[in-house]
Amino acid sequence: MTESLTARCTLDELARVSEWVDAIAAQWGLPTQTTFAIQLCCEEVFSNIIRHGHPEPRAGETDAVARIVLAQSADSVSLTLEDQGPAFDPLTVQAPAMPSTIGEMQIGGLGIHLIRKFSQSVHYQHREGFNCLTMRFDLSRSAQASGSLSPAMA
Amino acid sequence: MELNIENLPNDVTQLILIGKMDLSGAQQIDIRFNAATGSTRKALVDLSEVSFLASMGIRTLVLGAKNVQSKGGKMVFLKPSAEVAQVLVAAGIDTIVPIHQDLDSALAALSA
Repeated sequence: MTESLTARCTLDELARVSEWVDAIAAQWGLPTQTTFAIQLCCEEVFSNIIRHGHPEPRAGETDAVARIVLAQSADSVSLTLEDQGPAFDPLTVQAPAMPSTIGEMQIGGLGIHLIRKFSQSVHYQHREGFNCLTMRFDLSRSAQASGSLSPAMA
Repeated sequence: MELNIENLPNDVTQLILIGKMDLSGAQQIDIRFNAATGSTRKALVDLSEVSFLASMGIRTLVLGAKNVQSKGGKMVFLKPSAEVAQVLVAAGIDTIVPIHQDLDSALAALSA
C-alpha cells in the first residue's frame, strides 16, 4: 500500500502533514511506537526542508512543495520526502557529540541524529532535481522495546 | 501547546508542558519557558502530558536547562511517556537532566 501527500514548504503545513501521517497510521493499524518514530522523522525532515531548502517566495512566486510518501510492506513501513531545494545529503552531517555537561549540550544539529536513531535505515538520493530521503521502519521491532534506546529511569 | 507554571514548596517551580513539542508547539511556549527557567534555581519540568517531542522541542528544554544551570540551579524531568523518554535518551540529555517517574524522587533530587 502506498499513500502520498503534497504539501507546501511552509510552517503552517506542519500540522496538516502530522495529521495526515496519524490518519494513515491509524488506517494501517501501525503500533504506537512506529507511528511516533515516523512522526518524529517526518517532522525533522520536513521542518529542515522548510528552514533550509526553501526561502520565502518573492512576490508573484508560489510556495515550493514537497511530496511525502508512506509505503507499507509485510514487515516494514517506508517514509520518503522529496523536495526541489538545493541538493543536500543530510547523511553527510556529523552526529553531535553526546554531551557530558549542560554547557556542552548542542542547540540544534540533532535532527539527523534522531532520524538515524528512530529509523532502521536512511537512504538519500538526488534524482532528477529532487532530494529524496527515504527512511525504513521495521514493524517487528515495534513489538519489543528497542534495546539501545531503553531510557535509564532514575 | 500549553505551559502551566506552579510554585511548589521549597522554592521549586513546576513547569507543566501540555501538547506536542514540535516546531510550532515549541515556538508557542518558548518565551515563557525561557523566562520561567531564567528565574528559578529548582525547575521541575513535568512532561507527563507531552505527546510528542522533536528536536525543536529539545532545543527549548536545553535552553531552559542552561538558564537554570547558569544560576547554579537544577532541572529535572518528570514522567515523560516511553516515546518521549526515548527521544531524551537518544539526544543524550537524560544523563545531564535526570528523568524521574515519580514526584517524590524528583523533588528529592532538586533539594539534594
